[in-house]
Amino acid sequence: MTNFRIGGYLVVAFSLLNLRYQTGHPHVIRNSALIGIPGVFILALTFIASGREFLVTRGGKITALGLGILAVLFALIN
Amino acid sequence: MLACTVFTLVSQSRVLPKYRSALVLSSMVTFIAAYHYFRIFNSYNEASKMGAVTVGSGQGAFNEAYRYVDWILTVPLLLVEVVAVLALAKAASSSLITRLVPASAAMIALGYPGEIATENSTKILWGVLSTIPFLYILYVLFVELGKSLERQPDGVAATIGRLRLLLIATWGVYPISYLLPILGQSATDPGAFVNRQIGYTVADVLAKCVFGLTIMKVARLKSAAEGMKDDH
Repeated sequence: MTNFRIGGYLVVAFSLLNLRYQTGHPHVIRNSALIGIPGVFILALTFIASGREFLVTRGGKITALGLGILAVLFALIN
Repeated sequence: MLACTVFTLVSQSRVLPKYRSALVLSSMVTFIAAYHYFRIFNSYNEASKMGAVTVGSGQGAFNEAYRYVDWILTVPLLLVEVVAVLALAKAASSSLITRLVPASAAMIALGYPGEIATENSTKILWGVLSTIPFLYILYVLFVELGKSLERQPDGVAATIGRLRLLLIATWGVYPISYLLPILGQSATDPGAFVNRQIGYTVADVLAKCVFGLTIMKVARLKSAAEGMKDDH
C-alpha cells in the first residue's frame, strides 16, 4: 500500500509542477487536473478499506499502474 | 536524476523487503526532480530570445523561485527516506516523521519570500527565519536520531553519520546560492544568475542522487547484517 501512496504522491507532484511551470499557457488548469486527478484517486483509494481491497487485486494493480503511467506520459507531452 | 531513479528502482531486489520503501522513496524524489528539470529546460527555452533570458514572474519569463515547488515536494521525502531505511519501531518512526516533515516544509516555505524579494534586508530576514527549522532538523537528526543508532548494526551507524554530514554539506550549498545576491552579486547581474543556477543544480544532484545512493548503501549494509546473501 505504501508504494501506491508514493505513486499517487508522485502523480500529484507532477501535476503541481506542471501547473506552476505552465501558468499562463492555454488549458493549464485542465491539463494539470488531468494529471493530478488520477493521483488523488489512487491516494484516496489507499485510505479507504474497500479501496485497499480493490488495489491488492490484479485488476486494481493494473488500473492504478495504467492510470499512473498515462498521467506521467501526459505530464511529459502536454 | 532519471538514471538514479532507474538504478534505485531496479536495485530493489538487492535489499530486504522492509528496506525497499526507502529505495522507492528515493526513486520518487529523483523522478520528481527529473520532471522538474525537464520543465526548467522548457521554461528557460521559452524565456530565451536572441541570446537574452527574461527573468521574472510574468508569462514566458524564467523564474527560479519555481524551484521551491520542487523542493517543498521532495525535501520532506528525503528526511522520510532516512527514517524509513532505519526501520525503527512504528512509534519512534512516527515521532521522527511528524517532527521532520513539518520542519522541512516550514524551512522551504520561509525561504521562498526571501528568494523573490529584491531588497537584501528582506532576503536576510526570511533567510534567518528559514534557518530556524533547519537547526531544528539538525537537532532531531543528531540528537534524537542519534539515540537509535546505538542499536544499529556495525557500519550502519558510521554510514548514517556520514549521511547526516552529507545532508549538512549539500543543504549548505542552497543558502550560499541564496546569499549570492546579498554577497555583492547583484540580482540582475547575468553572472550572478548563472552562478545561482549552477549552485542550485549541483546542490540538487548531491542532495537527491548522492543522498539516495547513500540510503541504498545503508539498506544494503542492514540487509547483509540481517542475513541477506550478498549478490556481488
